[in-house]
Amino acid sequence: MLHGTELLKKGFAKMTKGGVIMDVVNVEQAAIAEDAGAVSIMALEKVPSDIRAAGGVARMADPTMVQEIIDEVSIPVMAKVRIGHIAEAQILQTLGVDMIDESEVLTPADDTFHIDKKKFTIPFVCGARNLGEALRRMDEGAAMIRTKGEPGTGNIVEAVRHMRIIMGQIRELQNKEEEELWTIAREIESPLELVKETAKLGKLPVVNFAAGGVATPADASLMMQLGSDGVFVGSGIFKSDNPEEFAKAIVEATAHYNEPEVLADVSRGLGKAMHGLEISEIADADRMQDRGW
Amino acid sequence: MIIIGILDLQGDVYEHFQIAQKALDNLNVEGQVIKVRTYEDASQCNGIIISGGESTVIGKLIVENGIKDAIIKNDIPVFGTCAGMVLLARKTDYDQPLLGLMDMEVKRNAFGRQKDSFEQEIDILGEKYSGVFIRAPAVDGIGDKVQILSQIGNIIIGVKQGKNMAIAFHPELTEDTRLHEYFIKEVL
Repeated sequence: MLHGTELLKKGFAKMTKGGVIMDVVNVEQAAIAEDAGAVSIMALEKVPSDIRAAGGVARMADPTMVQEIIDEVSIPVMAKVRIGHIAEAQILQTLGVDMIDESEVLTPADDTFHIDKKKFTIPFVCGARNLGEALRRMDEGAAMIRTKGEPGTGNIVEAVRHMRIIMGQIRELQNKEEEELWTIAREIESPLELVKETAKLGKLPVVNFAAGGVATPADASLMMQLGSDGVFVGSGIFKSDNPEEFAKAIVEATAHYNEPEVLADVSRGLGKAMHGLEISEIADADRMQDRGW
Repeated sequence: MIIIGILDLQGDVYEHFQIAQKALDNLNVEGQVIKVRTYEDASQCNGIIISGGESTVIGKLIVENGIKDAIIKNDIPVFGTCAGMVLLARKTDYDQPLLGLMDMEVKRNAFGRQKDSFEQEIDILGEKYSGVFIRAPAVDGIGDKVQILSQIGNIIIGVKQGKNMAIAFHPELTEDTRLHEYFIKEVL
């Protein structure tokens, strides 16, 4: 009997496709997310918009809270660790978390190296702004990639930018001769084997979600239409006027992203979405997407 | 002309689509694999495959958009893997919408969480398969009409009732077309 194989890690991520992964900060929110049809939940201490507002160092969630959520819901539970924080990841794996997000939303613990994710039994998801970053994370063992976007803003523009860049770079690879891929691999600082595999598949070799700024059902549909396999929603649900209804509507919009009638229907009467933040109003030092190397 | 539908709402739909297409080619059967998103899509299928994914999510969506009604009204055979097995059950250990086409009870996450997910060789009807079990369910009790296809020790992981089939693992992740071929032959 084998545990923690590449197939099991990447396979786990594949089971979340077409779904919505929702940030929650307590058991009550976890139950709401599950009832609304979340495919998985992300347990953390504060949603990204509150992390942004609070300042200071953002760390892994309290294990007691993570454990309570694991005990409450029947769907998979994910949690975040700081970039490079091996010990936080070991703690979450021990608690029984199903997938770890090595996340730029928290304050980085290592400004040079990411976690060697191949050493863990459970799978990891990591953020990326472009193809090179995505393939480097995969080389370290990430079983799933998500766009970084700009977390906690309710502004979809950065997630769109990152998804368009990744998809555009993949389309470019498909037009290249094999010998040209060597140069590209060097240019985007990624392993040749993964560059070749991506060129051959015409998509990332692992599941690729959208994250960072999804605030409405229409945002979810937009990201799916750009090629996402599913969406993470951080602050967008529990910072809206009506979390239950927003959560349900985003689930429907993700599953039926290509059916405008369904989108129109689920978008009606939801009340106010989270208050958004214009990207140019964020100081460079506060941009979470620039964390990670 | 046979139409095999892959339920396309949530889960590893693409992987099932590829394997089902290959299975049709291998059998040299005139047919088509389609993605099922609506009542109308479902109604034209000779058989429907439900992928792995989250049974709570898929169950909710097939009730809301009428696919469950289409399957029951037209008596369409279903092959379910993992989450699909859960949905075929009459009852599970959790309160959730189900198809309930097979007389069995299913326990979700019967082997534990993701860290307990495993690969193991298993035996189905005398043939070896590489079993990929991801937060997998198991059958926790069956009625008289349900036939056992596979077990790990005394834990039931594969069953059949009439033309409906349910397995706890993921043949679609191993490029193995045999179970898809078996199902297609059943519904021919």
